[in-house]
Amino acid sequence: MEYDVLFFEVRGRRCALPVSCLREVTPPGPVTPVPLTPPSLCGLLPVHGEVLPIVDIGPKLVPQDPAIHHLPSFTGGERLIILEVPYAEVALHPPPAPGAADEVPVSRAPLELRAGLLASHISRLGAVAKEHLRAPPPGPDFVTATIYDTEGPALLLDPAATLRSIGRDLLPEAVA
Amino acid sequence: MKAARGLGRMMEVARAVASGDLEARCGHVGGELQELADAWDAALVGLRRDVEFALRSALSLAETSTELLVGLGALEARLVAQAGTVGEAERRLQSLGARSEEVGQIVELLDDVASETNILALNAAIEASRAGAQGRGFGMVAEEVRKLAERSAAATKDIGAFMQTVEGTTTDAARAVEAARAVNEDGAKSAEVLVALARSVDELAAELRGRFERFQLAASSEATLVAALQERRTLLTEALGGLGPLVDDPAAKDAPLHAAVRRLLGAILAPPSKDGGKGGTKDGAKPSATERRTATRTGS
Repeated sequence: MEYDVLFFEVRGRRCALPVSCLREVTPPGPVTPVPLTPPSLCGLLPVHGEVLPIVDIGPKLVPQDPAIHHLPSFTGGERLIILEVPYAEVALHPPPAPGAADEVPVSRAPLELRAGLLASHISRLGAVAKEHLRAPPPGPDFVTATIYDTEGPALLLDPAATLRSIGRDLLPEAVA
Repeated sequence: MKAARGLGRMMEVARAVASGDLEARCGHVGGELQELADAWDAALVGLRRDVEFALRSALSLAETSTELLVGLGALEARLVAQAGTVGEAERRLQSLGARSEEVGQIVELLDDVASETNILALNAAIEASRAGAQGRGFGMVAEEVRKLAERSAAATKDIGAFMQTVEGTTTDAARAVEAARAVNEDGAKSAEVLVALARSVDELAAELRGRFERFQLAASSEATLVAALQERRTLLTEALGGLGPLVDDPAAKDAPLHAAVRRLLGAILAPPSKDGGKGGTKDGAKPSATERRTATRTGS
């Protein structure tokens, strides 16, 4: 069984995302930075009338690389990969207040959560078979496997886990 | 008496020389002053030779300076024309550079279009993939469009690199033309200086020619008169030498020959005409000295 993925690069690391979670690829516009946010959240950007969070997983993939919290400018080759994942898979909830019931409050958020993932280069679309998958290298939990194809290894990312990781950066005490 | 006449003659010669007549000579003054007069005449011959040399040199200098002036004028005109040509080339190169920039902007636009097309094809492929089996054909079309966009981007990069080479060459050519223009301007300035110098030389040569031509003109106008006077003096001397005994003979005082001699003396001593005192015959031909001597002796 094969499924389609999009190969791209983040700070020199070859990555892949399932096409099923992709909405589109677009050139980055002027990102508005948000104060007091972790380096993995670049800021906000309106895309087709909807304000989306723009995330950069580079600091998580390459921790030794100096983080770019606010993007001053782009060199021209960068692209935004617009992800669309079920909100329920991403949603984080604040920790329950002391003495409160353990029930998780009903979310009024939309069904789908969209976000922009910053990629330094888009390679191609490709089909991946399960026999190409290997165990992920040590690192962030949103890397689910390593793809080996003719172009070398690529980190297969879980989109929902990726956005959850960013959310945990924002709300360390939150729970899934 | 002879000394006074000799001094007077020498004075006349001095005045004539002062007025520009270098043909004047003291000639025979006789007596003790003859040696001085001969030295005076020899000095005048030398002076005339030097003046003639100076005059020829002045004329040659004037001709040379005139030719130099003409040549420099032509050179200056060519430099001016060349400056115009270089300026035109510079303007055309500037225009070419501006056009190259425009082409560079068009190449950037094409690059942007290729990039947009690539993204569009990628998104189309994503949509086709999300559509599943129904979108497979559309995905293949999107993939072909993406490859086409990549080829367009590669061609655009090639054009951009080529245009950069053209721009570099144009810039080099513009610098070369600028250098040529600077050299041309220096040449034009040098030519202007040379023309000014040549004009000064030409004016100096003209002044020298004028000064020395005054001598020559004076000499040419007076020289004929002086020559005629010298010839008459010679004739007179010969006539007086030959007819002296007859004139002094009281017995022949009323003879026709005596009268003829007197007429001849009157004719010889008459002031010379404007044609140089050449006398001349009825048909205007100049009589030779032998003819005149014959006429003197025969009294005709």
